[in-house]
Amino acid sequence: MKLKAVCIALLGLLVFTQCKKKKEENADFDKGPIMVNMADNYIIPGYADLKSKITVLETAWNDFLADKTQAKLDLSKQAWIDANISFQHVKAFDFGPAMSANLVFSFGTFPCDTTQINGNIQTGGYDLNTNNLDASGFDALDYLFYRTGSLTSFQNSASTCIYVSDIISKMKTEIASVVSGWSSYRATFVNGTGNESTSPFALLVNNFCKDFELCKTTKLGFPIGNHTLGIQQPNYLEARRSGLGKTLLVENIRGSRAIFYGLSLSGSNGQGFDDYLDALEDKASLSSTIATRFDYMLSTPQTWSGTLENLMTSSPATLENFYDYQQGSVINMKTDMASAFGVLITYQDTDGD
Amino acid sequence: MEIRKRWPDFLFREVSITPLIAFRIVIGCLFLFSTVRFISNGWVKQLYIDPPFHFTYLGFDWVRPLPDNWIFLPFIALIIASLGIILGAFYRFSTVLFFLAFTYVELLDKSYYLNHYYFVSIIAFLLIWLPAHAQFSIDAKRTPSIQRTTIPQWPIFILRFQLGIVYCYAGIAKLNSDWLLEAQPLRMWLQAFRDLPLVGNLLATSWVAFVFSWFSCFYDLTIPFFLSKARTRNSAYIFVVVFHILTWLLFPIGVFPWVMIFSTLIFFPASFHSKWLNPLQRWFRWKSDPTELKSTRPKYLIACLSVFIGIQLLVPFRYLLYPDNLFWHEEGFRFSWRVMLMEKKGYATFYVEDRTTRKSIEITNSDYLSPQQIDQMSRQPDMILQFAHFLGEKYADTTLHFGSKTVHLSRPRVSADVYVTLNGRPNQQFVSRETDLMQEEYNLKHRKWILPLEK
Repeated sequence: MKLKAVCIALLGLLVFTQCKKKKEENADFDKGPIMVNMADNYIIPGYADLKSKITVLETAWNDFLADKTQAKLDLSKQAWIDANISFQHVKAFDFGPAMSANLVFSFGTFPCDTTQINGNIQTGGYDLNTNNLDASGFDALDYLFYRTGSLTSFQNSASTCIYVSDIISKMKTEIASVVSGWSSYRATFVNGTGNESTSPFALLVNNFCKDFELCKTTKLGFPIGNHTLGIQQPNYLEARRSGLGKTLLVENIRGSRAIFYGLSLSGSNGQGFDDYLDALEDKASLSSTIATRFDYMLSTPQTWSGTLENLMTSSPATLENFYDYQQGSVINMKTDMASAFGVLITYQDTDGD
Repeated sequence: MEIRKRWPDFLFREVSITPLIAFRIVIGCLFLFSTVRFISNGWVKQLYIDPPFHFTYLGFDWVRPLPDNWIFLPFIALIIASLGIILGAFYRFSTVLFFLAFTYVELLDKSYYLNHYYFVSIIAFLLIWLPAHAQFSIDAKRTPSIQRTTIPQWPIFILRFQLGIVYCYAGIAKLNSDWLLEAQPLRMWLQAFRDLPLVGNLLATSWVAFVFSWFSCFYDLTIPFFLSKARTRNSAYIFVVVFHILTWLLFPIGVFPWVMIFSTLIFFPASFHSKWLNPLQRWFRWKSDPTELKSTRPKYLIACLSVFIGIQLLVPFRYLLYPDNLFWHEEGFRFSWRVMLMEKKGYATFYVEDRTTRKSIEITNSDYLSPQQIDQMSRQPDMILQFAHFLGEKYADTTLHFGSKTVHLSRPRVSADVYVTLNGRPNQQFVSRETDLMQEEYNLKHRKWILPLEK
């Protein structure tokens, strides 16, 4: 009897609290379409785009080898720029096939080690697949294509030319394996909407945050001296010789934004994190906060003149402020958003009853 | 006057030993299973060998991991000790070994703290003093004189009491406005299950979160009493099984549900346990040959039990000694059966500063910490301070070379910029860079440098 009374009292209280905060109940929302949209409209086309741009780079480079002129070298450089930008859009997906191929580190490690590169070229007998992350990838090509006297050194040194060919062919093999890997991984990915730390959805969320944070730290934080007592480290700049670093920073952010909105590679909007946040209780304002931040981060660099290295001398405060703004955005992603999505960062048991 | 007689009478009433024997075997199997699971998940390496830094407990800084693969030694000891407990072989040695090895591992790093690990440590400690090997054990076979069919009831009582503590305090901890009035954090967590076919949308609705919250609070507060009464025991146990399996399905909480499902069997009487123990004993051709012992009522035992019970009752309330929000400051939070109460995530950036120029080095946390250490540290004040002190000592009196420039740091300032979100609130600043963490002592005093929770 007593028990019944207690239950009724509790139920009454429950109804009371419910009436007090009556609001619209959640509409249907399914994470599946986010995954399908990401895979079919962004990730898979993104990798295909990168693959074709690496092929264009290879062709341009072979044309140059047949006819070593400045004009042909410029075409190779342009192909390198296009491929590098394409890479920025897919570098966040460091899981599944990309992780197996170590694509992100292999393509994107910087700054390159010029001593190691020159040593490799001189002595030959190198294996780019072992201990050569610092001597291959986009940043190594930045050095070889854009250093002073690059044309002359290509004209005079066959081993330098071979080294570039080797880097490109390694990249070609790796992106090919990622592209083919996704044809089977797609099924795992689109069905992986669980919240355990190893589920593809959690991997997507965690890698999205991680990549954005890395973009901030490596592309900007290290060079501007945030990790070195304010002493600038221009040698840490990405693509320092071409001065492409600013573009790569922006394109990396554009890639993050595309994931957040669920954009297709061509930019049309589909199901993404923003839609998920909008569907969750009380999270629409978080969604618009992050969206506003992305807008700012894409528009602001357009007002910068010169390369990042120029800005480091002409207007270091501009870069420091931008860095702080990026940092603030990481907070939104790694605390509020990750919390709202309920994805786990770790694989370990948590406390429960 | 009354209690001085009634209390010993209660503790020393003779009862059947069977539930205790059953408990020994069941809990031993769980100990063995969870140790094997821990090792086979590769956690020994990931949690204890890989990270260069560990968050020690206050006063236990001397507890350090054994070097390299030697850290496997306590885990091997745990396997051997669990087997000893199951079989009742070298029982005193096995229980002491289990307690020491388990507690040693738990003390290594508080970022891995779980209430159920604390529970296991306590149970292992209690087992040392209980005559759980006095029947159907290798020890009792070798030394028949230790055999008993009845025992004073305190060993069984103390185990039931401990389980009661876990549930009741977990229930008391739920009596807060986030849990009862906002249904948080369950409301957030359940929304993540929207995709599930059929039940998905149901789970995501807020009234379901309210029902879950209120029911689990009621469940925690009352289940030990329903389990204690013969009339309600069977149906209460069905609730135990359903409840814990549900939490096991919904949340990544490892072996904890199974620990609770199996240890609550201690509430069942001898007649229940005989049903499965008797066939097992026949299978092993176990012959009981008890010598009837007259139990004594040692005063020291009554005192020890009373002290133990007192400690268990008081420790979870130590948070009352601190001002401000418990969930935000986490002062007096651990060792209090506060389970699944918070969805708290933080982002912490540390800066090692040159005191003269006020220029700083921003720290990459992952250089020193594993992802789960970062996850825990970023929202727990004591760990934030420990990590800051670690950095301060690491950079103290060092000469750094940045390109052509050289800087000497003698006694750097260490600060942190930390933001935390709690139970769905928008993130708020938790620690500001204005605090020199090197000036803050690591102790049990209230930490004033944590910025207050706004609402």
